[in-house]
Order: sequence, then C-alpha cells, then structure tokens
Amino acid sequence: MSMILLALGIVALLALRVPVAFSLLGPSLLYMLLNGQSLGLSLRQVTEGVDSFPLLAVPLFILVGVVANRAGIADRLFEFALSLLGRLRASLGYVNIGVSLGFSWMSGSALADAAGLGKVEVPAMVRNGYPKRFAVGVTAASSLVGPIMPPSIPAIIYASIAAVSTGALFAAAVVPAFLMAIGLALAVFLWSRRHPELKGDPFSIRRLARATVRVIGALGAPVIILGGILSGFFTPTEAAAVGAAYVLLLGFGYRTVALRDVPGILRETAVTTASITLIIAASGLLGWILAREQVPLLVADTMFGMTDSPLAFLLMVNIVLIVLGSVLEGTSALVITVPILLPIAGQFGVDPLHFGVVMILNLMIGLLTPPIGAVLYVMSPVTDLPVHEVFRGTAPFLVPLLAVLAVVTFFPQTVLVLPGLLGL
Amino acid sequence: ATGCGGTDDGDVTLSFANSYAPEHPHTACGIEAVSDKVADSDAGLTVETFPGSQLGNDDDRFASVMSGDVEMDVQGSSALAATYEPIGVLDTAYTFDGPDHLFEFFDSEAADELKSDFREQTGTRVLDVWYFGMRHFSANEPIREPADLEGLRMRFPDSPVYLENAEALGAEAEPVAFEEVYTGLQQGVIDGQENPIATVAAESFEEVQSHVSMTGHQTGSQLVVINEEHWQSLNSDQQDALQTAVQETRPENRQCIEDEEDEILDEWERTGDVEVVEDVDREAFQQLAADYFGENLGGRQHEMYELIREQAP
Amino acid sequence: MSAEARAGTVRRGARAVLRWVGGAEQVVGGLLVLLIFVLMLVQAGQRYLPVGGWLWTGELARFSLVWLTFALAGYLMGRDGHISLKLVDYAASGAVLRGVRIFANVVVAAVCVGYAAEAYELLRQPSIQTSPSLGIPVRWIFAVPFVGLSLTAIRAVLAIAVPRADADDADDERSAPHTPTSGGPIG
Ligand code: NA
Ligand code: NA
Repeated sequence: MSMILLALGIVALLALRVPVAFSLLGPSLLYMLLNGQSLGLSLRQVTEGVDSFPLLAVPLFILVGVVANRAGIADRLFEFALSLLGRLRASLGYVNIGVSLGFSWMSGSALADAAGLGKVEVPAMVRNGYPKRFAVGVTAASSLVGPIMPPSIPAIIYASIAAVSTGALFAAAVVPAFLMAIGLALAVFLWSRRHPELKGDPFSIRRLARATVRVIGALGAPVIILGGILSGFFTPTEAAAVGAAYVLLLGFGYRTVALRDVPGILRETAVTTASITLIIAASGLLGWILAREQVPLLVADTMFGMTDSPLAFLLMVNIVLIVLGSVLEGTSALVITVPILLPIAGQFGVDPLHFGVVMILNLMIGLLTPPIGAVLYVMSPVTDLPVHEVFRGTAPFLVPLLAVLAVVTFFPQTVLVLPGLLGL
Repeated sequence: ATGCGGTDDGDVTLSFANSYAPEHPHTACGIEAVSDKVADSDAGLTVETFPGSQLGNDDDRFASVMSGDVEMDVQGSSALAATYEPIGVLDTAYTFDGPDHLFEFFDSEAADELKSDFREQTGTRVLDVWYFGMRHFSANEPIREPADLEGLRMRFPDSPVYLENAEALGAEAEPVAFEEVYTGLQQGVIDGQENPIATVAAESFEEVQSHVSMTGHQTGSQLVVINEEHWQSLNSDQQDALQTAVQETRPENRQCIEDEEDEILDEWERTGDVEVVEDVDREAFQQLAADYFGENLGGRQHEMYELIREQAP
Repeated sequence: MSAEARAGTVRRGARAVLRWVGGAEQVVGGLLVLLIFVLMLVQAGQRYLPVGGWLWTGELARFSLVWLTFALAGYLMGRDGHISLKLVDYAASGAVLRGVRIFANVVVAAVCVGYAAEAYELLRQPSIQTSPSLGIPVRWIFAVPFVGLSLTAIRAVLAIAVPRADADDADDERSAPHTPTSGGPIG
C-alpha cells in the first residue's frame, strides 16, 4: 500500500464525517496488515503515541482552564481591565483584549476562552453601543492569545513530539503572545478613530483599587505555573498539577466552586482530554508508518530541491500550514506535520523553538478562517449571529494576526529572546 | 514485515534501528557503518537504518524486535532488563573496569550462557556489544568522593538498574525526563546528572554545570540485537556478512566515541566552559558499589556479577 | 405487540443500558484525571520532602493517560463528541446525509473491531516484558483499550441499528452548535 493511497484514504474518510482519530487509525491499520506486520504492533504504536510524560500536562492544564472558567475569574479580570482602561475611547475593545490576555495565563485553548468570555463580553459591548459584529470579531480574535501564551495545549503537544523542553517552548511564546495583544489593540485603536461616539468613563482610583483587590488572587496562577517552571520549582507537568490545585482553592475561596462541583469538573476535563489524546495516539502509528517509509527524507529532498534558504522554507511552511489549518483542526494538523517538517527545519538550521511557535501560531489563526474555523462556530450560537456574520466581524482582525505571524517568522529573535535571557 | 521480504534473487532487507540522533557515533559509526559494510559484502543483504527513535522508544522497539516487526536494534542492558532481568547486571556501577574488560567478558565463554539464556527467553539474539562511553557525574561542584554527593539531587535515567546504581553510590536520585534535564539543571530542579562525555556535550549540559567529575562509574554499553527467526532465515553468507559487519564495527565505533570524547575534553579545556575533575577517589566509589552489589544482587545477577568481577584485569 | 411498539421497547432498553455504561465511562474517566492530578502533586511534593526517587508515580500517571484516552472513546462516540469534520452536513441533506452518517459509523465500527482484535492479541500473548517501575506485565495495559474499543464499536453499530439510542434527555436539549468541526478544544 503506497503512501499516496494511505493519504487518499485518510482524506476520504475525513470528508465523509468519520472522526479524525478513526480516519487516521483505519487506513493505518490497513497498511500495517497489508504489509504483514504482526497483529498487535499497530495498537502498541497507538498507545505509545500518548504514553508520554510531557503529555500528562494536557489533562492538567485543561483542568486548570475548566476550573478557572467556573471560578468566575473572567468577571474579575473584566472589572479590573475596565477600571484600568475604561477612560479610553472604545475602551471595551481594549478591555476585551486585556481580559483574554489575563485569562490566557490560566487557559491553554482558544475555544474555552471564546465561549466563556464571549458570553460576558459581547452582550456588555452591545449594551454600550458597540456594533455587534465588532464585538464578536475582537472577542474571537483575542481568544487566540490563550493557546499562544503559556500554558498552551498545542505547545505541550509540539514539545512532546519534537522532544524539546516544554518550559523553553512556553518561554518562547510569551513575546509573540504579547505582540498579538498589541497588534489587536492597534486594530482597535484605528477602528476607534472612526467612532468618536464610544466615549470612555471617567477614571476612578477607588474603583481600580477595589478591582485590583478582587483580581489579585487570580494573578497567583501565572506566578505558580510559569514562575514555578521558569524558576525551577516544578517541571511543567507538576506545575500544571499545582496550578490546578491553586485555581481550585481560589474557586473554593470565591465560593464559585463547591466540593460537589468537583466530579463534574473532573468529568468535563476527562471528556475534553480524551477527544484530543485519541488523535495524538492515532498519529503515533501514522508517524511510525511515515518513518518506516522514509517519508520525512523524501519531503526533505523535495524541499531542498526547491530552495536552500531557511526563510523561503519557512514561507513555504506557512503557506502549507495556512491551507492545512483552514481545512483541518489544529491538533490533527500539528501531530501529522511536526514529525515530517521538524527534521527538515533542523536541516535548514531553524531553531526547533522558533519553528514550534511559528507552527502553532499559524495553525491557531486557522481557527478563525472558514470553512472550519472552530472559533467562528463557537461564537455563532453564543452571540446569535450566523457564522458568516461572525467571520465578517473577525476578518479585519486577521490583518494584525497575520502581521504578527510574519514578524515572528522572519525575526526569530522575537521568539528566542526570552528563552535566551532565561538561559533556556 | 515490510523490511524483510525475500525477492526473487534472494535479496533480503533488514531494518536496523536505534534511539540516537544522526550525529551520534552509534548512528554514524554504528548502524550506518554496519549498513555500508553489509552492502559492500555483496551477500544479497540490505540494512536500512532508522535512527532517532523513529520506530518507537527503547521498550517499544525491543518489543518490535521480539515480534519481528523490526529486525535489528541497539539496546542498553538496563532497558532489556525489563524483559530479561539478569542482563541488567551489565549496567551496574563499577561492574566493568572499562571497554577492554567489557569486550573481554563478552567474548568469553561466561558470556555465552548469558547470551543463550537471553535468546531463549526473548527470541532475540545478541550479535555483539558496543561501547557507549564511561558515565561521569556533572554538577556545580566537584564530586571527588562519595561524601561530595551528599545533599545533591542527581538525575538518573528512570529505570531500576540506574536507580540501584544511585543507591549503590550513595546518590539521591531524581528521575527527570531526558528532554527536561537541561532546563532542570539550569533552573536547579536538579543539581547534577550522570552521562558519558559525548552526551553531556550533545545536550550542552556544560553550559549549565560547572564541573564534570571523571568518576567513570559505569562502563556504558549497548547490545546489538536481532530477531532470532529472521537470523535463522538468513543464509550462511548473509549471517557471516552481518555478524562480521557488526563485530568489525565494534572497535571502530569505540574509536569514534573516544576520539569524540578527546575532542570535547580538549575543547572544554580551551574554552574553560566547564572544569574537568580528574582527581576522583574512584576506589572509594568502587568499594561502595562492590559492597552494595555484593550484598544486594540475587540469584543469576549475583552469579554474573561475580564472574565479571573475577575477569577484571 | 406492533413492530413500532417493539422498536420502542428495544430503544428504551438500549437507552437504559447505554446510559448506565456512559455513566460508568465518565466515572472511570473522572477518576483517571483525579489519579493523574494526585500523582503529579505527589511527584511535585516529593521533590521537597525527604522521601524521593519514586518512579512509579510518573509511570502510573502515563498509563492513566493511555487508559483515559480509550476509556472515553465509546462515550464520545455515543454523543457524536469525537473531533470530526462535519462539512458534509452543509453540502448534503436527507438520504445522502443519512447514508454518509451510516457509512461513517460502519467505518468506526470496523476500525474499532480491528484494534480490539489487536488488543486481544496483545493480552493473549505470553509477553515477558514488564514495566520498569511498577513491574507489571506490559500487556495488562491493553485491557482498558480492549474494553474501550469494544464499547466504541458497539456504540457505532447501535447508532446505525437503533438511531438515537444513545441520546439522553440532556443531549436532546443540548442545542449543539451546528459546527463543521465538533470538539477541537485544543484551539
Ligand atoms: Na495560555
Ligand atoms: Na477577548
């Protein structure tokens, strides 16, 4: 069975509504059996795909996000951001980005952010006279900061496949995450110049003080998680567990989470985790087959036949990933492409941390693009807007995000400066 | 299996895997060298190489060698001990005095029994042993004698044999995944680690450690294994070609490792990145290990241990 | 009993059983998350306590993640919760869409049967490999995948034979956002 047939089989099953994991598992199993591999080898490779210590951080950071959502931390962040930025024109646009930025330290995914914050922020903006399309757009776009800023589920998955340090990759993504927030704020600023009617509120130091007191506990989460990793107290996986314990205690303290909520929290975490890890598992076998057939070598030869410039290589990768990211969901795109592209990146002299941030940022932008951009579809029911209207609102914000992608791609320093400073 | 299909003219292809990066001597001077030698021998045998754990991690690849899905692999005895416990003794601290002792033992009759028992238990044949380099400690202080290990959290690979070694040497073992060792050392999650010089340099541990102390507490070795059924399916020319290639590679591979170590040590001396501590009280460590293993090894492992120690030069 | 009534009885019976199985799957999944959580807390704690060098915490946590992956595969199948591309829902309707859904379920059932056979083979083979720290036979790990994959295959078959057998009241109400990808929480 040739690699072409394998690829066609996977694509056909994906198109015919077979879940991603089984679309990968089916043709792979067929390949193994047709090639006379012994019964049992396929499942061993599949389980090996998730039998990884770094991947243990996936359920634990999902747990952090689930608890943070239920603990009502977003509301406190909203109050705080409003009391700080409220006097600016179109302030709720900046507040929206600020809340996502704050929440991104506790959440590793965009969808939880978009769904959770969208319910609060979009109605608030509409009530205050902001066009709904703008409100939806800025909420959707800013939710992408979540999976870039550490903790990040895709970063854990990349680090696990690429065998790079999760802590170093976390540090590498901090500057790009801030660049995204700045880029989005810039877009809000340009937009606000045409909307003088959206006046800000007068600033109140008492209000800011009150909001600061209410939000201060939430700041403990990034201190424990990222601080714990970078200062060497914990490995990333341990930091995830300690962070989850902290956010849980915070929820108990805020009286937004009760002991009887814990089974539901665990259940939600388990279900979310399993839907991701089954795809990672399936890619374990696919990766084995690709290696066995020397596919990475083949792709590398093709790439080197076209160019020997690392920048041209990165540009090609970006184009391929943007196309792939718009038709394939993030985890699958990541687990399929990393084993093939990473060794080539190494041969082009691209740093694996840099490459990881470029890949993740690129695939996350795919969450905002049709036909399958998942954030668009999550925002649609939350805001009662049809998907194409959500996209019309989001589309302008793709400009700053793509600009950040370009900056991050062509200036590796943006990624490597922080790990460098920390000596990682 | 894919790799092993006889064609009309009797040509056979074997897959030969390992866990090391393409630049590592066990790849460049190891599996690649075997592949080249076999190709030159015109025995109708082709060896395809798969470095870098492409075909799975150590335990998983060995399971694949047992099932015949991967024909050949390079494995450390501590990993193989998960399947056949007695073989783990080869990785215990100060059991071998160095590569000469290691090779001598492996070529002796005493090793034949171990190899045949291993074959019986696992359905895989040990073709030869390769030298991996002596394992030394690195930390942010010199480790000259056992007392210097006190209070240091030393990273050891997470397998029982290595933890026994830590216990034997009086070190506090801290199991950390290999990918996190650099960060762990840098951030102080762990104070030190133990590996051969080549690994220390490949992972740039010298950037985050001030001292490498030449304890040489373990003669690192790697066994070249092949699925027994596949071995038996080869004709005698092919068996000869393969066995010869693996055996001829052994001294060349060792030379590669030692050359690389010399180069690295020279480089360290030149740059002063890390201080190499030569005046280590090896005898004190050795005595600790001998006392520990003399007392704690049981049955077959104890027998092997005594046999190996008797052959010590 | 009319055919219709009989079908109704079958559906109710299947519903009751599946609801119970689904509940058990969620409990197992939740407990595995709890186990991973506690084990990693212990591992973080032991670094700063005079105990130490416990390898089994990491090993058991890794196995738990493997088990978690398969333990909930059936539950996710039952509620159409696996990440999948649902573009065809927009392109097709009526009989064509029903046909595609049946095809997808057939594929999932076949794939699961295939892998369940692999799991059965691994459980059956007298393998001598043990896990490094806990020392348990490696083949035991495949017991959970075997059960999980079998339950997923059953869910897929039932989705064809007894449509909506798996839906519970909450699912009926759940105004599932009609998205071309479901799940995908990674974003
Ligand atoms: Na985040
Ligand atoms: Na936002």
